[in-house]
Amino acid sequence: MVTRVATVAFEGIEARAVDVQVQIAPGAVAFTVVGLPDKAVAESRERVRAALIASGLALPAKRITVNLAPADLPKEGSHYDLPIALAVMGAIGALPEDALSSYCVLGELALDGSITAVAGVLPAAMAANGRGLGLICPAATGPEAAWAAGDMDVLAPRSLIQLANHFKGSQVMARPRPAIAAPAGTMPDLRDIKGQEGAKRALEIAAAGGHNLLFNGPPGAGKSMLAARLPSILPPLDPRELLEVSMIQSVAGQLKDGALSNRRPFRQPHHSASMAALVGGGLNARPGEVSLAHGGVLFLDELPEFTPQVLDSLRQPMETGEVMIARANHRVTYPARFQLVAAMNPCRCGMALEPGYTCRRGRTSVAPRNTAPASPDRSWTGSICASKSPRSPLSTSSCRRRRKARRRPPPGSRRRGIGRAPGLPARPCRLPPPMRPVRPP
Amino acid sequence: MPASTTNATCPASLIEEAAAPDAEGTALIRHAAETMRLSARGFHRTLRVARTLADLDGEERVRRLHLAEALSYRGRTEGVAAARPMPSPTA
Repeated sequence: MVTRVATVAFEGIEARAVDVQVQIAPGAVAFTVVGLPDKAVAESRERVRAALIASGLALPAKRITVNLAPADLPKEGSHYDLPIALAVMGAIGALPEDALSSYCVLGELALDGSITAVAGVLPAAMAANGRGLGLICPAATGPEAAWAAGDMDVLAPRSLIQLANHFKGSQVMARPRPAIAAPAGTMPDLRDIKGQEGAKRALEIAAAGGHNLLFNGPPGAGKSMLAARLPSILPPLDPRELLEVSMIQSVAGQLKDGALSNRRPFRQPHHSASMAALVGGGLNARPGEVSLAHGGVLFLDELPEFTPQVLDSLRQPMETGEVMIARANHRVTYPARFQLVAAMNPCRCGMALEPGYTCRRGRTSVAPRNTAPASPDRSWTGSICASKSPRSPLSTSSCRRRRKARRRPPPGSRRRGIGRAPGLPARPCRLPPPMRPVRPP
Repeated sequence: MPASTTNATCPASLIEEAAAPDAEGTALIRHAAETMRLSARGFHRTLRVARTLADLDGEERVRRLHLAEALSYRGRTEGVAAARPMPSPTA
């Protein structure tokens, strides 16, 4: 006799159906989980055993086999604890089996029998609704699951005992209510910025058309401040976008208390971010910053400090609007349609674009003298370069030296070239040749 | 097309139709494409921004001044660099 409980495995923001099958047979006492479980899933044996003992049940002294079908799909994540426990409880008779057959279950167990929150409940709820099942999920994620469909049966127990009592009829649980996140304080306002009318206009254009934007200017011009104020002039998410954004946030475990928000995401990774952090991947093929910024803004401050490989890895998501993470056994696709905003200094001292100035320190050399000054305002002389395309986030100042400044930089000064910007025409960037270290005789 | 498509994510063929400039605008963008050596993608990019500018002004048709502003954002030094002869590399 095999007891079956439905659950899900996550591939990107899709939830694939997984069947948990439990068989209790005479034989040597053992509790095995098969079906390519990863370490967290294999450890669920201990959690299930402890949770059942804490709830007043005991594992029978028989051979318990748990199969997670399909058997060739690697199972990752800690949400298999609860379905395994419920299937075992069904097999030993502590829960009615026909009750379990109409639900999809996910959740992690604590050693005292309480049910801990897991990520990805919203996509699981949508998948369960599509299959005509209800959902059993941890109490903290109940509000998230309630969004999936108004008439879907959702149970959000706090512990195994509460769930068992619900099925017995002695303590029936109410359906959790969908929750909206309270707006977290006021957003930064554009009126905090004094002057900079040209930059504000560029911000408006970028907000209106979804264009990408690069702020290039001296330090203190207000580039980071301006970029942080872009979300305040973006429209709220429409329902379809809201669903996609919420599913990604749910899979990444970022939905606090299961409450959805219709504010556009604003992500600002530090320039030491690795490629996996930015694009996605790593353990469990988690969504990266580009996916977390889907429908919103990805702000890269100090753009030249990012490694060139990381910047190049942004090309594909910007072109196609999605990022595909390839693993050994399967491919995972996350949506990644975002707006890129970047800020940079044209050179080390920041004054390269100021007319009549020679920069001797910098990575990039100054523009030719007769470039029109970007702004009438003396206090801000950076230029705003609004890039119009997904494929060229950088438009660099030209790398030609001024005719007057024909001095070489002092020997021993370190120079780093900026990585080639994607989408630039194939003209060589005329940085001076790298200094070779002098070998001691 | 999904309702949340913006000008920036609009397919190229559609943006050519939606942002078709008037006669003066067409002359400007043609001239700019030659002087600034715009690629086809650069051309479409400029059209997208010009379409946003026209939308911000509430105008149906993209005009020369929208295209001019869109071109002005196109890398102030990049455009100048393209138009200018390169100095010798022995600087």
